[in-house]
Amino acid sequence: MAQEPDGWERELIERMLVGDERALAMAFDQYAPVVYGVAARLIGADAAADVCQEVFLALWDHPDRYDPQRSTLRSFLIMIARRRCIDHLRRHGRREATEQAAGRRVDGPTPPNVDEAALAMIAGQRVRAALDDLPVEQRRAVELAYFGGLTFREVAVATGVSEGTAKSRIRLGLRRLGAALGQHERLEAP
Amino acid sequence: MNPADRTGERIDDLGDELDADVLAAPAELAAAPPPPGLRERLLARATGGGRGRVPAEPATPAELYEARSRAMVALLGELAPGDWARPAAPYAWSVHELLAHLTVIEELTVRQFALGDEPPLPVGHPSAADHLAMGADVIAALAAAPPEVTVARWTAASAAVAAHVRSDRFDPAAAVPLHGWPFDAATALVARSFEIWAHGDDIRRATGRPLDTPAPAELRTMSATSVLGLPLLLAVAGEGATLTPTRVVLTGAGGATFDLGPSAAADPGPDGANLLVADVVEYCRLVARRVEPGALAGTRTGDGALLDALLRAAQLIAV
Repeated sequence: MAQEPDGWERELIERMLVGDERALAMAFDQYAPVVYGVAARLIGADAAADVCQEVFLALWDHPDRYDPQRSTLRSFLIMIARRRCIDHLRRHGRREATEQAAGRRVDGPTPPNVDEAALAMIAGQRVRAALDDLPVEQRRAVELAYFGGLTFREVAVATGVSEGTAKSRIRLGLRRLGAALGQHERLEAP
Repeated sequence: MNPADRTGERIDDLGDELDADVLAAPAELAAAPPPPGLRERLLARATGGGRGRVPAEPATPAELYEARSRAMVALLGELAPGDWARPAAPYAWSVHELLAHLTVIEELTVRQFALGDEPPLPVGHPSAADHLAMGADVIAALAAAPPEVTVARWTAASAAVAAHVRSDRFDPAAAVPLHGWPFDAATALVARSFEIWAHGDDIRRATGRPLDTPAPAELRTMSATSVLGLPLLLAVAGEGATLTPTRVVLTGAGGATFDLGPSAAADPGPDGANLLVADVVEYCRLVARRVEPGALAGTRTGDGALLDALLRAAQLIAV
């Protein structure tokens, strides 16, 4: 279960609802690095910029679709980004995208928001530590499914196991990840 | 890649059994600064491209009417022989009878625009007061004929109105009373567009088709005409509610923000007014009485009784 919505997020959404574009800018400053980063991992840096923009425009067009009882705003935006990327992969095929993304780090300029960069780094370190504690087969399956955008079937082929086993590893890996991070603990600033 | 692989389950499909925040946790590993200029491009599109609370350029009432009529013609052309007898809720008509009713009203519209042989009915004329009961004999006769006859009559009436509003003779400010309302011609066209759209969706529901979402420019005209008329409609409704500063935010493409009430011009801001937030399409469906006020999803803060009264008033011109 998600915890009570963060007051900052709630205010952000309320301000967007009444057309305050400064709230959109604040949301972008706070969450664009993770949204863009996920998209870049999945479909490459060039297409990721478009997806990132689409994600925030979707939030601007329909801030009312975010349900703070179900997730943090960060998770909501990541979910939208992943869906847009999967659509992109379906339209353009995976090979082209993965050749660009291919697990490379996405280089760029100094982030405009130092706080967000620091928070992302801290959160990233915690997630990396939790991921490193997973059994290697679970970690590999989660990474392929999450950052490769692979289906369970494709993960199964890539790791040489049945589709059911691949799905089970991903599910178990994420559950252990959730337990390690604490499902009621935010991965972002209060 | 095997096409079948593209349709398999993915990690996101575990969302029903896993917390969304847990599903999103690995994303922290990917955080990377977005490219230069992306922020500026985003804000430019959000605030200057006709999206979100920045209104889309509205369609003219004539463009709106023609677009809605074209959509109806296209829908009627899709119907199979078996579709015409299907019940078309919310009224006790078949699809064919519904189109016959629409034909009666479209032919009345021709008359009210002074395009027919008979003079327009005055605003209080009793024969035009009951929208649903009008032309029962005509509806029965048309329903007994092949659907093509009804399609031809509705199309002819609609085309006559469309030709008029494209002509130099069209005066948007001319009086065109319709169903007891002293509309001007522009507002009458918007009212007709609402009805054609609503009945089109009645037919789509009856025949298992997806509902139609008008273009953003059309939604802008429909919603703006309705919302800007709310102060008057609230007074006409006679519920005794007094309009205080109220902000209406209609989201989605074609939506806009409207400030109503005594200090509308002073921009009461997000905290200084009653607030109603709803999807623009759903709001228009409410106006057309296809969504009830209590079922309209969205945010309502401030004077709830006033907001409820405004939503009920919004439905007054629906027929």
